[in-house]
Amino acid sequence: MKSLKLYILLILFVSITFSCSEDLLDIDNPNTPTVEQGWKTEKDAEMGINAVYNMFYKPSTWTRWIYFRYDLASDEGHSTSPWVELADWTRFRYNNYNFWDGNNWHWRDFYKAIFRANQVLAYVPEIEFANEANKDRILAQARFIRALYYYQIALLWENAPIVLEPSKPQDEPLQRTEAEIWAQVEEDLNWAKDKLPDQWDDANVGRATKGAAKALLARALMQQGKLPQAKTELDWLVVGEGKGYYGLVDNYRDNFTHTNENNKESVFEIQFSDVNKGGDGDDLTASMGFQRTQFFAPGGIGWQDGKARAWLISEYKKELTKDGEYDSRLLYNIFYKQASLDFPDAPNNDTLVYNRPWNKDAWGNETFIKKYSTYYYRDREDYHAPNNFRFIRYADVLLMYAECLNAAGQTAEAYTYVNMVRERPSTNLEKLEVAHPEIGMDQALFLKRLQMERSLELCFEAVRWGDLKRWGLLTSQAGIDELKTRDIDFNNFVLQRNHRLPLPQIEVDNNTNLIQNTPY
Amino acid sequence: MSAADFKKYNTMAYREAIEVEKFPWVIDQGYQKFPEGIDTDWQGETFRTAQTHDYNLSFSGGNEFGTYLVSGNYFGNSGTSVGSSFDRYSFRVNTEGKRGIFKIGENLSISHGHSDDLITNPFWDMLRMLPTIPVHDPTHPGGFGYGDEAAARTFGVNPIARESLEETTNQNLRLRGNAYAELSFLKDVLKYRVNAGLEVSNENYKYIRKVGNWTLNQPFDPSAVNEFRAQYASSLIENTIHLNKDIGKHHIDAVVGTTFQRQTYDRISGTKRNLVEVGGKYYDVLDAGTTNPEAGGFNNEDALISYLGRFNYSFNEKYYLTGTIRRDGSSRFAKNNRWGNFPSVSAAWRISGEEFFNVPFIDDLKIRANYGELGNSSIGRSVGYGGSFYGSSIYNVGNWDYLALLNSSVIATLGRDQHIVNGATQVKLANADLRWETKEVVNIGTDIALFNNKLAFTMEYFVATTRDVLTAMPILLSTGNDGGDPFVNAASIRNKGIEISTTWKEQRASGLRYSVTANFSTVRNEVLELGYGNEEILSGITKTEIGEPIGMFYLRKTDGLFRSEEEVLAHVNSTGKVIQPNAKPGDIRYVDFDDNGEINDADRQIVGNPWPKFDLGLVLNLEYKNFDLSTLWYGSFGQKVYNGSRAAVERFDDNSNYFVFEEGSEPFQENPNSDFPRLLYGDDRNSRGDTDRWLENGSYFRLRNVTLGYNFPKALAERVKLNSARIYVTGQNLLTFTKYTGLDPDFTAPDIWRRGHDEVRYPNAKTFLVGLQFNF
Repeated sequence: MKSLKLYILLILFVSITFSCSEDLLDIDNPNTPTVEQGWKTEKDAEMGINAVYNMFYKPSTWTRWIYFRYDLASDEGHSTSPWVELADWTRFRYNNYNFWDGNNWHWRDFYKAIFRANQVLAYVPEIEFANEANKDRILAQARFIRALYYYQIALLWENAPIVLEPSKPQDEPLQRTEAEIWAQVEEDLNWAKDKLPDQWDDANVGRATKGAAKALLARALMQQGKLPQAKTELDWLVVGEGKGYYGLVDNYRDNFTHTNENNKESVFEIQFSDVNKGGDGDDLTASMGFQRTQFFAPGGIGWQDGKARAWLISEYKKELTKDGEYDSRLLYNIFYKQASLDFPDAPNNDTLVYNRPWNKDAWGNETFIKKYSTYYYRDREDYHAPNNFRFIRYADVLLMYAECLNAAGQTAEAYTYVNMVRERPSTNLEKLEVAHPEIGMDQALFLKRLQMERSLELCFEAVRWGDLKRWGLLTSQAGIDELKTRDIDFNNFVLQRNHRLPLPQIEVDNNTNLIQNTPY
Repeated sequence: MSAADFKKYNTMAYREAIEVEKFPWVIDQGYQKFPEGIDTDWQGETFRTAQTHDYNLSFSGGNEFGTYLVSGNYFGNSGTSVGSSFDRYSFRVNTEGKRGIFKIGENLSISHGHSDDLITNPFWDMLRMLPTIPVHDPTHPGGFGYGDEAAARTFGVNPIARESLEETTNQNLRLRGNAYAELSFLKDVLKYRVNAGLEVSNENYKYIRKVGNWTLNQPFDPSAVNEFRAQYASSLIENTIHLNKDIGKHHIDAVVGTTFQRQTYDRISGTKRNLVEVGGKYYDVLDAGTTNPEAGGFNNEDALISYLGRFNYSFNEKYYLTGTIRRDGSSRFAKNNRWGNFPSVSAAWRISGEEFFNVPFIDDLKIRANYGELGNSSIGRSVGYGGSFYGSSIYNVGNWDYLALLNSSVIATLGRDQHIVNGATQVKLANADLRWETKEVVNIGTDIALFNNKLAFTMEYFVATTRDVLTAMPILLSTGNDGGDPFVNAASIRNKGIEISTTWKEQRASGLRYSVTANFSTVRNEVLELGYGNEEILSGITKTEIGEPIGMFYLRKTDGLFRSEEEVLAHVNSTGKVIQPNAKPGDIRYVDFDDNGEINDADRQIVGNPWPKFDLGLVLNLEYKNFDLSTLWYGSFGQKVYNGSRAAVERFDDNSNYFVFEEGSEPFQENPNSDFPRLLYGDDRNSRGDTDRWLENGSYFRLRNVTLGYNFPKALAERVKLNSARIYVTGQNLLTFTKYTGLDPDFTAPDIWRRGHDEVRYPNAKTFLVGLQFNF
């Protein structure tokens, strides 16, 4: 009996004294709130939208690699990188469809940005705002940026998933057609354009505006051949209420430096800064600088991974300014050997290469991309250049407007806008009708010339690839033949194939709803 | 490869691109302009024979009232590659005391470690550096040689530069102890035991970056110092009651109890750049950094509660029955998935103990059967840096993987003044329904001892099913997920197999004693289920499908080389389309698996199994007079391995170092009968990584350990006041029989999805140790 008591006592002792409270397993994460805890206040919404802007600072987006797709793959540029695969992806030799820096990284980060926008669009409507217009502005910015990324997806891959809800790990979204993606871009921008402000206060400059949404929408419409609708959107910026906000800066170069940012020519501008010297992660020390300058600068300064095609130089030289000089856009866009001879009166260090004379041994007759380089204030490059990338500038808007007018048979009016660009004080060219009287009112000739005008004004601004595609040059033998005369890389171009990228193979492999673009 | 050979073959590959293929971009670039007089042996420069020192000193003793053990240890290893070394000092004290029904004791150990850790994977770097690159080059920032656009177009990392320009050191002080008390009742039939354990480990990690470059086209990085201090603590409390009772021929023992374990890991870190430097000497404390101060820190915590009960019953050493139940709760899962119950039962019957059993040469015959389940909540990720000291197990902290978290450290710049604005968003996706991984094992087996216990034989058939394997599993890029694939219950896997072990041991009249043990096992692996309801998952070079073994190689299949133009034209699909119209003699012929007349990713197929057909172990022990010899052999047979080092080196489309060509397998240009394809720069048709060309037979048989010892005669030892003295030599991994051409057939796989992918990790070193042991 005694032992039984002892047993009972012991069991009681253990079960009462030592059995653990299950609450001990409730351990909250002390480091960061959960998604469930977030998205409750106006400030949460504000931070949510800021995180969407952060995606511009990724190598796969606008700091680095996107220019390999749009500028170097186009006839304006090329790559001779010792990194063979990197260069191959600018000359239509796609051997490995999972090439991270050329394909998968773009894809992942475009959807990463879309995921962030989708979070804002899913959670912010539930948040109570003191002023509903502020909520709409946040939602409209999210829609704008989402559309901006779907625009890239439609342009680069054409057939890809549309994701509109915050992602879940098991998601296997359906493949959509190019047309469906463009429709999504239109829907988002149509929603955003009326909710976005015409202008932001000084503290918020850099956020999407109504004009930015309309200009991007016009671009998207033009890519689909809907030029009349595009013109309607552009009207607001060129002849409508928005007209007063925009204009061309007198000095072409002011569009590419960090000293005259967010000026009247800026329609949408990606804000780069050199304050941080970190990497590309999602952390407080991450770099927010422009990195392509390091990749494009001549050997010994940068890596000369991307170079200009020399035909641009001869094209610039075909016309002299009203004062009988060479077009100064050549000086600001390209580093080349004869610059100091061609522009003997150029100010300060503009004909030098990062304060160095032309290095004949190392650079020979190479032609390097100068636009956006920071030679004007230092003698080296790095991963943190501070100059903003002008995503859409007013010169582009004017030329798009001219393209729409010409397409609608209003060629005479179209001249006006081309001439505004040509007659910018620093460019100072004769009116187009004076320089090229043979065009007259011939729409086809006008368009052909406009194609060149766009390249001379906008080269290396990540618009050329879309332009070539819109004009059908990438989808016709005649177009490819024309491009081959300017860029031998087009010898590798296969019609009906290389006008779009292969989908990342790992996505095709692991998403049962995705079929590889043919004939890849 | 020597510089002379390198130049020859490199030029051969370029000539093919320039003169045969006429690639304009290679013509533009021209041949490489090799510098004269440089012939670097990167392997020789990077690796060295390391020295290991290991000293132990221990005292132990005791009487009926208590026992004690005190020991000290020093271990030092100078590292087999530049930039690695390791030292550790440790002390240990164990004591136990008894009085009446009480027993108390404690174990305490303190260790201090210091290591200089590798930053690079020198094995990988060694393969990529060209022999025409010098180790040192004073014209480069930092003074080290690396690639050059004209002379050596490679982005290979100079491992010596990197290990010199970056320094990583880690110091660690670890205290580990436990104290226990036991109370015995009823003449030891019933015992109550409480055990409390505590482990505290302090880490001090330091990283220094000096100015200089180690690869072509490296952006300028200022000097920097990064330090972190961290503390890991683990506390444990166990309460158990033990019952132990014999009633006649019945034996019963049982345990019930609870355990509670809590782990925390806290870290703070700081970084500064542009260190004060005087005459090449860097001042490397945080105060010496002059710009970009950064600070960080985080805390981790998890807890585990277990209730356990175990019951053993045996009768007359003939019938055995065991039952166990565990109920475990882990803080690493959401509330509804927190608890798991894991029972097991086993039974055994010693047939040889029965009256009717009468086989004279059989000493023991037992059959047994077992069913058991075990849970695992270790969402294995090493957060701390202490891995090189103690293995990463103690630092596995993946505590909130089930929670979708906001990242509030995302920034952007906005405004006319370009100020920084803060953002917050979800970056990494999470699976809220993470649950326990369960391993369920069913086995039946028999143990037999024969011929006066000279021969022992054990055989076991088992079916082990691991359900809900907790690991990261690739998800689609279109989710926009970043920060690593989320953890998930990724698969259920069944391993079925047989294990056989036989030992023969004997003592001869001559004084020779020896034993031989052989183990044989064979396992068939099968995936029963995959995470997210997937039917299959592709991961790099492998494919995992339900119903098949995990991680099967999924690659383009090669079919030798084209030997002539005719053979190129004869390689057609069923409609007569020439499949590789651009190929030239010497190029690889690929199998057009989908018969569409083109070679692309749709031509991948299952081309190999990474699982061994069987494993074999062999242990031999010999003792004769004062000498003893023991050897341990282990081998795996029948598995395919993807040789990552060959895939990296035997490519000529991009520049890397090359392996020396063996006789008969020179490149096609040199020897048209060889199976080595045409060397071609600037085009990957003969260099692709996603082909079965890199699969090799991974079978190996290795002498993992051999020890030869000599015990000094007792008389001799006593003359110098020693109880005993022993000298021994031990060798590890001294002999390996394999056809595998990679560094080490016994490599660590990158993850469970790519079991057969040899990514050139740190190989098992050959070591040779001489030891002396004295007992006083």
